[in-house]
Amino acid sequence: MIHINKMFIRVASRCLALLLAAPASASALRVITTTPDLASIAQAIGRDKIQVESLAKGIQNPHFVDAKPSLIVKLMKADLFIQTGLELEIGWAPLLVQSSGNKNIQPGSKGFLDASAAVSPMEVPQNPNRSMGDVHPGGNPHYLADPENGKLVAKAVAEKLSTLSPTDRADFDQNLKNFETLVDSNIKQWKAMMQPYGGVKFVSYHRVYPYFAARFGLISTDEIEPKPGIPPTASHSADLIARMKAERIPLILTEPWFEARSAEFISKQTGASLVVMALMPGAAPEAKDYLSAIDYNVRSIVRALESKRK
Amino acid sequence: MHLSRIIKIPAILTLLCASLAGAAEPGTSWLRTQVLGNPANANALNPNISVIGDFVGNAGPMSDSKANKFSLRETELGLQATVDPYARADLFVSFPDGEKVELEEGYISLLSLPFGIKARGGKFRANFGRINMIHPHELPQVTAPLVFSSFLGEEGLNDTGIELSRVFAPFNVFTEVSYSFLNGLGKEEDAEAITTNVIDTNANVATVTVKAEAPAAQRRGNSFGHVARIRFYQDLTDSTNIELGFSSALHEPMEGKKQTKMGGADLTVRWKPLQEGLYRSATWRSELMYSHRRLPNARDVLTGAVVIPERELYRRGAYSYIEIQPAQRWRFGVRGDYVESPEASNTLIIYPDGTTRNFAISTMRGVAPFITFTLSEFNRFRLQYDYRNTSTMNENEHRVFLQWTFVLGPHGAHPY
Repeated sequence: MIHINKMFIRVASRCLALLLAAPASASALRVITTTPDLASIAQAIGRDKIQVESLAKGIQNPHFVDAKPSLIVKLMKADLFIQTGLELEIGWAPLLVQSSGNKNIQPGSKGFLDASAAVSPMEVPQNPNRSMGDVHPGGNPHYLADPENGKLVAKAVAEKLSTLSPTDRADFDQNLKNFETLVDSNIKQWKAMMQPYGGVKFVSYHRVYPYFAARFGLISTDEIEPKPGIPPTASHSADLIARMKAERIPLILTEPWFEARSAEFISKQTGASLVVMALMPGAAPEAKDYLSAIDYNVRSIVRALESKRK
Repeated sequence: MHLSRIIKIPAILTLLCASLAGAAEPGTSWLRTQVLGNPANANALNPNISVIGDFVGNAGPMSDSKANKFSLRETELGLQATVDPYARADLFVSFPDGEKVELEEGYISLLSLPFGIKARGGKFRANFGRINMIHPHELPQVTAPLVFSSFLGEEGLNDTGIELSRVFAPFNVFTEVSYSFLNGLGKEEDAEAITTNVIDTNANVATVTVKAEAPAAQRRGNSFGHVARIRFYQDLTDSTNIELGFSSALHEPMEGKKQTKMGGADLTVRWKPLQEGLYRSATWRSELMYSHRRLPNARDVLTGAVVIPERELYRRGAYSYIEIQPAQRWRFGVRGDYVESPEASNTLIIYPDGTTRNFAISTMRGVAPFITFTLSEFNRFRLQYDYRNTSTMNENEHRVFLQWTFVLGPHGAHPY
């Protein structure tokens, strides 16, 4: 009997703690993003005024996230939904938003933000069709690999948060300024690190890094995928190996969610260094937020290219 | 009593209108200047158009008209778009091989109702069980489970009406409740034609084929069908999740008509690692269904005599399948089926040696292993072997299917 009473008191006290804890966070805006890089940027701008969570994890391929009902639950009470856009999440995010029944975050509503509207997309196909593979008609959606685009998205997030919580506008503006300053100082440092390797060509598994390459002076030449979304084939890999040898391409970039065998085989055949990048926070232990993910990528590339020089 | 209702109705309407109005950003000048004013965006307001072709060939020692032939089993034209800030519409027109064109689904969905309620109205596949809402070309196997086609009909439980649904999250567990109010429970089967020899006074014999057509009866409140479903979903780990659902359907029109009650329970367990989700996954799904039908007297259309008296039939059915994805493009699986014929009873079979056997329930069992090869998201092949055994005839059916499904048009979001 005493045991039951103790258990009851323990359960009741936990329930009470939960109830008391709720009001403290109730005033914060609930922000849900599709990817962790957006969540990190939103966190930098909203800080203690928001609760932010990403639907996808950093080790997940953002093109192919399952529209699990547990993700719908996260969206049900969201005040703001932020997506990368340019059809990166076309296979899952629209269904989740629609299924949430949350009128605040439906497209066109105050609580919906397509971050791609803040940037100038690269590689917009002229006459897109499926013979090109799984192309994105609006342009390459991996624009956040360039930290300058991170600043533009941060500005759009600050504006949106200010619309939703006008009394906190000053805080959001100040946080934006701090973020921009931090990004600028990092870009300066990263450019200095990459400067000796300007014009270096690289191959990536999927066409993820045109924005990153343009910012840091690298040249993205080819992909291990024959076409976007199409798995590697023996003939394409053989052609790629020949081209990489002929052009002395020293670097291959891949992501943790792609199979390792093809990239490792091509790396072995060509002698090119293979770097597993952290496109998003959480993709590597060092990539804890948006800026540390880019920092991890820059340092990994520099380390790989340095080893080639020796 | 009346007064309180009169007060309540405008209050509810006001709440509804306020809710709908609140869903959109104020003003539409942005739309005019940014979208309509830019000719490049003119197509952006057109609906998404997709076409799905489902090409199927089958072979086996069967004698029915559909055996040993290729067919473009179904071509589906999909038109989907947002109607306005409050609603979206989805239309799917089906072009079945050798049959007339029909609207498979056509409904409008309201997305901005108060209290998180969603509503859709039109013709749609009702939310019953786990398979019914899936279009045939999206099914995990070439053929639908036997219990599905036997209990819900070849085209599934698809009718015109209204559906309300709401998602809850008690204890953070996804819980979805839906209720549909429909004209019926799908297509009523046409009455079978009966052939009779008529002899006149001069002993001339004429063969007459008569098809009984019931006069159009006035529809009443009990003419409608009701479908309800509740489903629960929970992530067990980042990679594994479980889903449990319960469904029911009810259609009890006036006396003298077929009355149907159905229930079902479904369980799905999925495994898909976050990092390697593109290359490896597994799904196990099982579904049990129960059918209770009251069938009216079957009468001879010429004499009016009762051929088979009114009867009540209680039947069960189930299927279970497992599908394993060992590589990006490959999936292997096997499905087992069991179903008791929902409307057949007391079949007396006389075997060639003169022995007889009375089957109170006609049952069908099946096993169907399948292999799926996905060339791309838009181009898929499937090979399936179907074995079926029918208890009454003790007949074994063997059939091999080859399916080739292709998609033209934009990405669709895939329901989970």
